[in-house]
Amino acid sequence: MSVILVLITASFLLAAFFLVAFIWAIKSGQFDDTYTPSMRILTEENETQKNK
Amino acid sequence: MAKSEKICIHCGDVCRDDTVVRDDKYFCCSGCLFVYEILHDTDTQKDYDISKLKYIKPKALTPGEYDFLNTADIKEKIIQYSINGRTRVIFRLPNIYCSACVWLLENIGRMDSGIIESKVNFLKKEISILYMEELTDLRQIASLLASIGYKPQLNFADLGSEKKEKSDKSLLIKVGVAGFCFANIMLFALPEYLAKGMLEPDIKTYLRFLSLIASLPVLYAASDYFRSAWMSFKVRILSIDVPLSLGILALFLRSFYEVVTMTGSGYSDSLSGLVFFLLLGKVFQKKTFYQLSFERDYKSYFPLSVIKKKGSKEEFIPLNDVKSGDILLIRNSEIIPADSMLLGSETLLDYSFLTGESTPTFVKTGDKIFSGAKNIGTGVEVKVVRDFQQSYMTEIWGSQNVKKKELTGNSLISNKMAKYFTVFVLIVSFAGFLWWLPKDINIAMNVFVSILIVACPCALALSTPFSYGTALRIFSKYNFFLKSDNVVEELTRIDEIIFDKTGTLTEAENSVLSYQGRKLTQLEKDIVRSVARNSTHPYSRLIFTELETSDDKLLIEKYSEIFGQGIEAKLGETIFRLGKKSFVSKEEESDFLSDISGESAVHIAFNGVYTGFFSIKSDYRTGIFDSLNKLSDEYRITILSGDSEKEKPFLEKHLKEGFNYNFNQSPADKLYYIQNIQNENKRVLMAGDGLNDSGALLQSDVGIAVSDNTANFTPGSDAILLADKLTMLPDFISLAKKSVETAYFSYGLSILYNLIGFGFAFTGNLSPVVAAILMPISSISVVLFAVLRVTLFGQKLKVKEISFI
Repeated sequence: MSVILVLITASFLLAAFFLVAFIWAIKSGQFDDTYTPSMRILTEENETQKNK
Repeated sequence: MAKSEKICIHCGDVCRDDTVVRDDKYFCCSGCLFVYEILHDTDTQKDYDISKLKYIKPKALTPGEYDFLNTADIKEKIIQYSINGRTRVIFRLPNIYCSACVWLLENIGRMDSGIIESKVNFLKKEISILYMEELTDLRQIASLLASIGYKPQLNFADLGSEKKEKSDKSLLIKVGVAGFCFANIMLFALPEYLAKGMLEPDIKTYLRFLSLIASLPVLYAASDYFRSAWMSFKVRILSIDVPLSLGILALFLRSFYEVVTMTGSGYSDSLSGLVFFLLLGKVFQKKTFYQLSFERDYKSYFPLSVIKKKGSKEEFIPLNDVKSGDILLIRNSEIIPADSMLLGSETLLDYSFLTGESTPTFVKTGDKIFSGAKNIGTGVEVKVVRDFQQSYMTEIWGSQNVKKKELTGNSLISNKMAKYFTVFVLIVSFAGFLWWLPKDINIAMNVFVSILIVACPCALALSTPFSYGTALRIFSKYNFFLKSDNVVEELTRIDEIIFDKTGTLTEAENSVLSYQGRKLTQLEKDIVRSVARNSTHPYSRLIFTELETSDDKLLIEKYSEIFGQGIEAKLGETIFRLGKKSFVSKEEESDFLSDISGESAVHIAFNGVYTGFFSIKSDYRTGIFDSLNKLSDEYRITILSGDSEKEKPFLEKHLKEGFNYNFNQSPADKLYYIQNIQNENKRVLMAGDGLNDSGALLQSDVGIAVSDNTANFTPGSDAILLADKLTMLPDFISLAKKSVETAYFSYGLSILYNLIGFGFAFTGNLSPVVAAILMPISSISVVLFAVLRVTLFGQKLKVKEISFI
């Protein structure tokens, strides 16, 4: 039954990892503008034609 | 004023004023035009052929227009950062309208090889550009943007918006952290709750420690409250964050003690839940408050108008529509609404609005004029270089250098209340703790923390701004623009009302003009008209509109307008005077009759020789007598006029008993009259035009500047009212009264809420988590109540407005 402690720890660490990912996303500006990307997909198709 | 609506061929939106036309086709913006052209030239319908962008030639701009962007000082201010030769800058582009604009702007890298990346934020109408210093510079980028139709709006005052973004991000992170900890701790707490004492000691201890560790990040999440409480402590003020921080600390320390000494499970669940809900409430409050807020920029208009020249035509536009590039005609005593360059020959300006000093400043062609300057010379044309900014205007109006009587009233009471409230809360919470301590320490802890949390003085601080703020928003929908919240309160405290007659109660447009005297030559008529053109006095405007003229615009060398007397102007060899008989000519009584009852007279003289007069039969605004009579039920009303007593019988016929009339008032007379009333400890509201009555408006407790197609602005006024809405004044006052009443009611509501909360908390029936949820709910409900109630009463205004059509 004490294996549950290992499981709890593991899941906690996993959740913590997601928290870190969340913070990283905010810091890198993912949530700054939630509207314009919706407009961008309409013109995304021509990106494939661009010569990089 | 119906404009035929043009639909953009590309995107289907309605085209605004800046419609772009090409080959008889209309586009709403340059983005649509370019995209359309690109599509039109190729055979494929779907593909946007990007390579075509290379061939777009930038429009010719005024050379040197953006040179200043490359100067080091300015560049410092504008750019976000510059690292290793790569610089990021954000420009505000008001012309962004649709996805075609977004596409075009995000591809400008193809038009300027120095641009590495450009990203548009559509809702904010901003573009963020990363460029290489070696290959391009701010000047080129700004010119490029302008040439494709997206002129950057350069505004140093906007730099503050950066800070807001950072705090939003930090709040989001804190909510995330608190939520994470809360959810996990609640899970860890489940076994102990559900097992009812039959839990294996190893597991129990482990979970308790884990919970404690998980509550550490919660302290980080609550750091804003700690910081603010500490700051206020240092200045010996007790802000509401002090009890909150105490509560949070108490929970944590208690938990720490309990877990480490193995005497209990601690309060990590309450702690994390508390902080999480507090922060969630903050986020929610920010969003809802922003919606409800009294941010007046987008929906309301400064009810002043200015003359804009379109080619040779002149039209009145509201100040809010003044854009960079417009050419305006600014008449005598009008303000220059936005930073401009002088196109006319020369004039005198009064910068007292900005600097407090009224020594005139002389400007000549090409000089830069700052917004807020008052033109005290001849009417001149100016070219606007920066869009009108209402927030800037309102800001300086609120903080301007004119002294008004200090306001002692409600707003100060709410400040005091907040201070005592916090002390009260601390006393009650400690009392509760001590009361329960001998009986059960757990309940004592709970009670202590719950009281600290549930007390919400924030509602007290929010009732007034939201009640008054809503009233302000409603008023500005009816073109009644108040300087600030305080004015709402002042409106309810007045005892007497004073109205100016000319231009306030009467309107220039529908008055009838007739001339008596020696017949005027065409040249003389032109002189009269040219001089009248420069003045914003209602009689001058009437003369200007009614007099036929040839199209010759005469050059006026000297112009001076003396309020209450008249105008003197020098054109070539002629000295022309217009105004009161005594001002215009020293001659004794002339042949001409000028005592026609019911009509005012404007006399003219050329080179000192009396010529004749214009008689103006004033037209009183529709419905004004009804409004005046209605007001007289509650207030003593005086009508002050610079004209003679001729109009008295007419007025007496239409108005009830009890009105006071004073005629032949000079601006100084009006001022003394108001002072006399104030010496009797009565408060005065004055409605007059911003022109002659600026002294009186300043002196009165509430000064309403009645505006009629002019840009007369006097900083001493407390409100600007569009003239045709003057008849609604009784309704405005009653709405103000309702707003003050609402503020009191919402105080009461929040006190009631607090008392009930205390009651529950003291008797131990309230857990900290529930208290934490109740706190934002209480503030939001109080705010909603205030806003809704005032809005409901505001609906009545709509009904009244319709009845006057």
